[in-house]
Parts: sequence; C-alpha cells; structure tokens
Amino acid sequence: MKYYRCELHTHTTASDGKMSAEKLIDRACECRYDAIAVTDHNTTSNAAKACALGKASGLTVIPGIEWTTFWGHLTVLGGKSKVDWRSVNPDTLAESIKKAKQAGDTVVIAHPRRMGFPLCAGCHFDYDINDACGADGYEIWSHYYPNEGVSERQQRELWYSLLKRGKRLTALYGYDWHSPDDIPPSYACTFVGAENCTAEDILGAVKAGHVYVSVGTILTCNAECDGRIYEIGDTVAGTKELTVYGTCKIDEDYRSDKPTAFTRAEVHTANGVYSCDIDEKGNYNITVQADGYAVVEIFGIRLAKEQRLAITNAFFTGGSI
Amino acid sequence: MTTLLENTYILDKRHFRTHYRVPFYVPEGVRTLVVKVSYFPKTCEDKNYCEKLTYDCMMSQAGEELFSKSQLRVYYPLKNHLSFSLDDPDGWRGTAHRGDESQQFVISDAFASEGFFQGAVKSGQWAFTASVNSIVTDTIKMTLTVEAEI
Repeated sequence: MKYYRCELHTHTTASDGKMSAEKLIDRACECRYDAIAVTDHNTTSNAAKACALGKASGLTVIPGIEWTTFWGHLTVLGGKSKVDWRSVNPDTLAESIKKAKQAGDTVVIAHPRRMGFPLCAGCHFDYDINDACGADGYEIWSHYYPNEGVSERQQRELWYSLLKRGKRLTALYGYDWHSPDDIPPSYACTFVGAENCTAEDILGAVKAGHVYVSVGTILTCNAECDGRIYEIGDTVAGTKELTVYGTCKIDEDYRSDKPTAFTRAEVHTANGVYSCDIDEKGNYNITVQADGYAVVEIFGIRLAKEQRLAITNAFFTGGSI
Repeated sequence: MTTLLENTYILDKRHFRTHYRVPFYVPEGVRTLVVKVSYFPKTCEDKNYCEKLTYDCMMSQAGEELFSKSQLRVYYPLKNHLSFSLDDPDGWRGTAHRGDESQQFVISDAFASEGFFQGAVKSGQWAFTASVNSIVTDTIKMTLTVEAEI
C-alpha cells in the first residue's frame, strides 16, 4: 500500500470554478497531486473531458459531482449514480446516499460547519446528521485554513461525536478548489493509502478508511495489537490495547510554509486522549486503551507556533478475531 | 430564431429553497435552443437588514466565539443566488450553478454551454428550473426567454 496525494473536491468552469478542465489538470499536475476528483456543483458536464485530459497527463481523475443542495453539500465520487441532485432534500437524503452508493459511488459530507445561508447558500450542513451517516466520508478540514478556525474545530468535534456513536465516516480534507491562482497561505492535502493510483483503488481506500489529512507532513502510522499490524482505518481484532507508532517528516512538495519541527502525537479515543513526544527523528510510539476508536493527531511548529499538522482517520477496536 | 417563451416571474421569500419550474414545448425540427435568463436585484442594499441576517447566521451556526462586529460588514451586500437547470423530454440536461445575474445557455447537437450536455434537441416537453439558493430581498424579478433555431 502507498499513500497517494489526493484532492477530492475541485471545481471547473462547468459550475462556478475559474479553471477550464485543461487548466485544472495542468495546475493539479504542477501541484504534484497523484489523483483529483472533479466535483462541479450540480453538474458532471466536464467530468469526462477532465478524465481524458488526466489520462494523457498521468494524473488520475475521478469523475464526480457536488450535490449543492439548499440544506447542505455532499460530494459524490465515481461518476456512476444517476441521482438527480434536485431530488435531494431532508426527506430523501438518506435514500439518495444509499442509491448513490448502491450504484458504486462514494459519498462525502462536504464542509459541514462552514457558514451557510445567507453568507454561502447551503454551505452549512442543515440536514439531520443522522440521515447522512450512511455516507463514506466527511470533510474534517476544508478550504484555506484547514488546521485553524472555528468551523474546522466544530467539524472536528462533530466528527469525534459521530465516532463515539460508532459511525464510521472517513476523515478527509476538501480544498474546494475554485481558482487557478489561489495559492493560499495555508492549505492541506488528503493522503489516501491504496494499492494502485486508480480511481477504483483510491475510492476503495476512502471507503476502507486508509486516509490521513496533512498540512506539510508526510506520515507513517500503524497500530500493533497482539503481534498483528494494522493500517489506518482497519478494525483491530480482539483486545482494546494497542500500540500506535509511526514517523513524521516534512512534506517537501508542500507549497506553503512548511513545518519546522514535530512536537507531539495525541491519540484520541472514546475514553480519553493520550499524548507522547515526537523524537528528533520524527518517531512516535504510544500504547493506549482504545475503546471503540483511536485517532492520531500530529502537532508541530509551523509559522513559529505549535499547531495541528495531521489527523489520521480512525483505527477501530472491538472487532472479532 | 423563433421565440418559444418570453416571460417575467416574480419570486419571493416563499420560493426560498424551492425549485421553480417553467415548462415549455419544443416543436419538431429545432437544431439549437438558446435560453436567456436574468434576475434583479442581485444584491440587498439595506445595510441594517444585511447586518441582521449576517448576525443571525453567525450566532445560530457558529456561536458567539466566531462573531465579531467588524465581520458584519464583510459580507455586505448579501446576494440573491439562483441556479438554473434544463430538462429535455428524457430528463435532466444540465445545470448552471454560478453567480452571474444574467446568463445565456445554448444547446445543440454539436455544442452545449458550460454545465449542460450537447445532443439532439428533441421535440416535446422541456422545462427550465430556477433553484432559489438565496433570496435576501423581498422579491426577485426573473426574466426568461427561450428561442429556437430551426
């Protein structure tokens, strides 16, 4: 398994993006993404073109759409389902997600705690979150300042509350990329652990939860339990005690201000938060009692202050051997 | 060009979060369809009302910690926002979700404007839909023209 650099939320001139399909593919290649998804608001009219251009450029392009509904936004990745976005409303959301998944698509709740109407129509997730828990993914970070800000904190808190209730929504970043020129002062990246960098494998890995989101940080992260090694997103069999370990290094392809040091790793579980220092080589290793789930958050120094640099999707515990 | 439809529609706050559908009939032999739509006003110029809506939004969705008085003006003037879709006799033919208050869509066998799908312009029942994403003024006046090139 290899972790591929992905951006699963982008727009083109087919909706309100400023980039043609050609420009988006060019910029994505310049930014060294391995895979992107094209998720125009309520249309797929540029998806086939973008996929063909990606193929010619060695970039994996996943066709998709962003259901930009009055009550919230969801990206639907894979290009298979025929759900009419206008039919998605509070009465039909759960069924619409189910239909999209049955067709083979991957559904992601987009920026659930961004400001909504009248500042940004539908951007705040006003649906009953319980109706959306059949989705595969959840943008824990989005837009330009992913590791800071009230919206991001609220998104993180909501995600943890869903984990506590046993909901398994893979944590993703969504750049929500609209313009060719916006190189913001801070942006993040979704790393997806897949066998091959194909649309099918990337989406399969999102469903399986092999994902971490990062600001300028390349991460390895595994859990060991009873002699078995697990990947992020795996369900750990048997015991609830597991050792989480890995290495952090600076992402040399990160195009904004890079981290300068890694300080500590936190492991969030349903029964508490554990913490350990990250050594000078970037290694961390911590044994925790994880009741239900374990999520690793990496902290370090960037722009002269300590900040959250990466969040893994959860390891889940309590599976049968 | 033959004009198939030309009309003005008044949307009000009861239309918020609804899909306002305007059906029209396309006769045999049409090669190209041209849809022109515009709406007015785009923005709400009432500063006090905009500040009130912004305040209500921030307080209900983010709470006091995000709220600061200076931010109330950042979002001024608040905007109306409609997105537009077309349906042909077989179903959805595309959507334009963007902010411009005046837009034109062309559909033919060989071409389609951004957001729509090219293909035959079949005769039968078509529909134009305005999806009312945001309405911050009392009313929105929408003018719609559908023209056909035989």
